[in-house]
Amino acid sequence: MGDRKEARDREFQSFVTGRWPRLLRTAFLLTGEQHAAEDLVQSTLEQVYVAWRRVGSADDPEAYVRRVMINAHARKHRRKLREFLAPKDDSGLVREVADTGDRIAQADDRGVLLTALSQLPVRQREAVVLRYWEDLTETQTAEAMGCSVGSVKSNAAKGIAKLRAIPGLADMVASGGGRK
Amino acid sequence: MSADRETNHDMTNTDIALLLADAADGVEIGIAPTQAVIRGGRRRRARRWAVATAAALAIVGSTGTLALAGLPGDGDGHRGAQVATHPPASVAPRLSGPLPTLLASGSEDGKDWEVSVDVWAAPRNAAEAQTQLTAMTEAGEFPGDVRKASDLIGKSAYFVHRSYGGERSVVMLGTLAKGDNWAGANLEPASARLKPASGGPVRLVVGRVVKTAQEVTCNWKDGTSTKIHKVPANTYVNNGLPQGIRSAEGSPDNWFVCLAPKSTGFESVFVTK
Repeated sequence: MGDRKEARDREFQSFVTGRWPRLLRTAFLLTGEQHAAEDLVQSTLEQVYVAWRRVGSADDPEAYVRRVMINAHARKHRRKLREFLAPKDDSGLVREVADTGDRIAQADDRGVLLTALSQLPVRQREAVVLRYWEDLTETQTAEAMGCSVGSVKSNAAKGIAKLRAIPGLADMVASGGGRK
Repeated sequence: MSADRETNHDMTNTDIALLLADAADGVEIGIAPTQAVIRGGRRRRARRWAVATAAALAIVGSTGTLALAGLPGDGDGHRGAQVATHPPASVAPRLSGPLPTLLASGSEDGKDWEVSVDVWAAPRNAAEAQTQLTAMTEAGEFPGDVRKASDLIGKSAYFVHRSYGGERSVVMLGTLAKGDNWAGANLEPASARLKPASGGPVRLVVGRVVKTAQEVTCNWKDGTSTKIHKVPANTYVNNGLPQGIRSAEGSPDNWFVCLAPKSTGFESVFVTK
């Protein structure tokens, strides 16, 4: 009995270690801030731990984790505890540590995108991040968001349209920014 | 770089994906805090066990102090909450924000809707009350019966929100002082339109209900009724959280949500089991 529990804990630890970077990146895009992202992922994984006996043996534990994380993110948003981007300067752009010219440009690019994402309604932001960062199908995204496929299509399309309309982002694309 | 980008400067979906990937690289990936996660998970599990055990004991028929200690709603809701869901008295209550729980969700006429409850823990003294009141103000959740911060001492507060098509508003709110009881009642309902300012029938019924309630019956104006039962948290059906009776984080009571069919409206609601 105890051995089985220890084995489950080891399995869970391995899962956490393996998934932490990816989950943190997704959470970062959802929240726009390092510490908020870490809180979101940690809180998500705590909930997953509670249900690990069931989740660990499921076909797709990732789907459950995504679902928990999106729920947690949506709840946080509902609380109206303002999500915030990394400390802003007067220009409203995210301030990041930059030590070379390239890094400054890169940080600025990221700041523009994170600011743009933060301006999307939460469901649109979730749909965009899950579809275009996590690369989920519409069905998988709908499962994660707890809504219909139609709602995913609508939210993702609106989100993308709003991002496209942001001049800063279009400029980044035009200048070959983004992926270095 | 996509071909589209070579030919014009409109952003394609691929461009968006690349920008997202680049932005995601901006987060610092430290070592996964596995031990902290497991400790937090164990704490959560212990709280769930405490709630389940207390409820089971009360249902078995234990009386007097046992039921009062474990089961809110049988005379002393908050004492039950302290035993079941709150950390020990030496641990400060969470004051910076409420504990949110989704109670029901669905989709109608192409619009997503959901009902959720935010529960704020009871501050223990004036300093904690001031901290919490500040947080409540920032969160846009201000209890109606509170005039000054110290009014919050010893009271937990709840706010039930309805969201329809992204438009969110409070449909029920209140505070619960330690020692409050149900005064013979076993549920406290509120009703609202699902679609804000639609002028249609009042179809949404929300409320808190004693933990022992197994079934709630919502009666509609056309003579029909809907029976809802206790359901585990996070049980999704067809991408929605179905109507039912649920626990809510930090709440000594359970909560229910009923939605009338489109053609009718709310008449009455009772605990029937």
